[in-house]
Amino acid sequence: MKRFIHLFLAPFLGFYLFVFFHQDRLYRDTVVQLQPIPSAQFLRATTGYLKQLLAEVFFAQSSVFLGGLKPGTNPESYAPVLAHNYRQITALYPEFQDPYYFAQSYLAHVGPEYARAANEILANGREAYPENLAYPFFQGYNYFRHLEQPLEAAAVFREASYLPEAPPMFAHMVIILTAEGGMLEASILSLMALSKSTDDEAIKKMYQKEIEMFKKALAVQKAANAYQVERMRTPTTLDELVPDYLPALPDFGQAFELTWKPPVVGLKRPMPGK
Amino acid sequence: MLRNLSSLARLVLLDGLRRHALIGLILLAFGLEAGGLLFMDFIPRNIGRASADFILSVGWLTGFLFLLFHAVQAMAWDEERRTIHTLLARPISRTQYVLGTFLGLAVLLLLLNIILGLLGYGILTMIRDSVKQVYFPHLSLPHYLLSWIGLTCIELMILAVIMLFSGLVRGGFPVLLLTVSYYFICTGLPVVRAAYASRLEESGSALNGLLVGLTILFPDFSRFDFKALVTSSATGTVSHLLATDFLVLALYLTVVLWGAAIVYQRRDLQ
Repeated sequence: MKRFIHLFLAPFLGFYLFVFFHQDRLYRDTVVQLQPIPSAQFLRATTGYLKQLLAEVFFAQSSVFLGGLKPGTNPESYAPVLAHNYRQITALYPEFQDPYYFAQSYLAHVGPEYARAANEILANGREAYPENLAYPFFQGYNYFRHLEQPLEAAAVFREASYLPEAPPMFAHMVIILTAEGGMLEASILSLMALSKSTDDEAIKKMYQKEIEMFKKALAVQKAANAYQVERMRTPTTLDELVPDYLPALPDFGQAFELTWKPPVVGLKRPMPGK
Repeated sequence: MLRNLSSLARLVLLDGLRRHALIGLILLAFGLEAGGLLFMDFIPRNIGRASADFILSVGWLTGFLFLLFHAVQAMAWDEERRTIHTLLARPISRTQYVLGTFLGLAVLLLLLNIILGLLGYGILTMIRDSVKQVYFPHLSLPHYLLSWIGLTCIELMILAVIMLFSGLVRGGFPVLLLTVSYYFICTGLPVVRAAYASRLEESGSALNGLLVGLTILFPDFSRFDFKALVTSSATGTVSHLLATDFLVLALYLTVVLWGAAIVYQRRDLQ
């Protein structure tokens, strides 16, 4: 009996391989879900010297997940966990830069809730790297593009424009976004200051052109105010101002378009393709 | 006294080398670092930072394995195999036994860290040369050395505590459990202190005193974690903070080893 018992090994091994491959196929067909990681505080308390490596491993895990997503997967199915994980990773290891770029690429566009989450994550990056211009740029862009909060975007760009390496474009962005938020007089004053601070004649000319346009928009705002005072209500559309309060609405060509969020008149850059 | 210490330390060192404590761990670290190169594929941007973190984390893991599975056992073997009796039959005091053994294990640890540090620097240089500069802009040798010194300091504190625990309890396994618990308290305590910091400032409660008191016993290892500086463009470190940290380390080691010597003097060696 003892001698023959080993003969059963071959069929047993075959059976094991059969079950193994069956299990492997079952797991291959299952949809992989991104698992939420524990809180940064818990990880910091338990991992000690390995906390940086762990943050990087969790980041790699999320990258592998994102890389393996099937085309057409609804981003809202994984965005909450992804946002949670990036929040924890960046809180655990704020100096690690990749999660900020990934949060901007994979979260901000999903919806307003996730644009806000991306901005919270980017706030960690701004704290760790106060002189990095990419993070305030992303934050400002999210406020402007995904959250439609031009004044918040302007505030972020204003802070960034004070950084030593900030390009003049940041200060100009502040003006453009402030104008979109309806603060036209402030925008005109800022543009005048910007115009005086540059020696480049071409840029000076561009600023002067914008000042003229902002002044035209300001005239529309004044007309809307007069309309409101006389008729005790705001106009439904700006067309109602013509011809009693304005001879015609100004045309800004491709540069700007008027916005009307009663009682505020704003100027915004037209979106490409719209 | 110094001759006795160095002779004992040499014995511990040779015993460690005979047991392949170093070569095994170096091979393990090398394997981990080679495998880690694949891990770097998933880090698109911060390659330099992730590589330095990885090299030092492997160093930490290897040192921790050395402490838990060699240092703890080496102390337990002395008693289980009655080597301690042979040693103490010579004109060696129990204090010298504690200090000599600590010294021998510390030298082994130092050797391990030097070899892993050199190996790690080679790997870091190789990675830096193989990627674009934007992904690995800085590699500071002084900060790299400082990181390894910091790492060794943490390991020395744990080693001193192992000496103390080995005197307090018999057997390798209880000492191992106590050491792991000590490590987790040391890493968890700063987080608890940070979490309660604002509330405690307002109330000035006894809990604040308790947490500070516990930190005296369970030091904050993160003060010796300089990994973040290796690839950072920041120049220089706060030298007066470093000086205080190293002074605290020296005093802590002295106190713990002193405690271990007292425990061994009073201990009934079976």
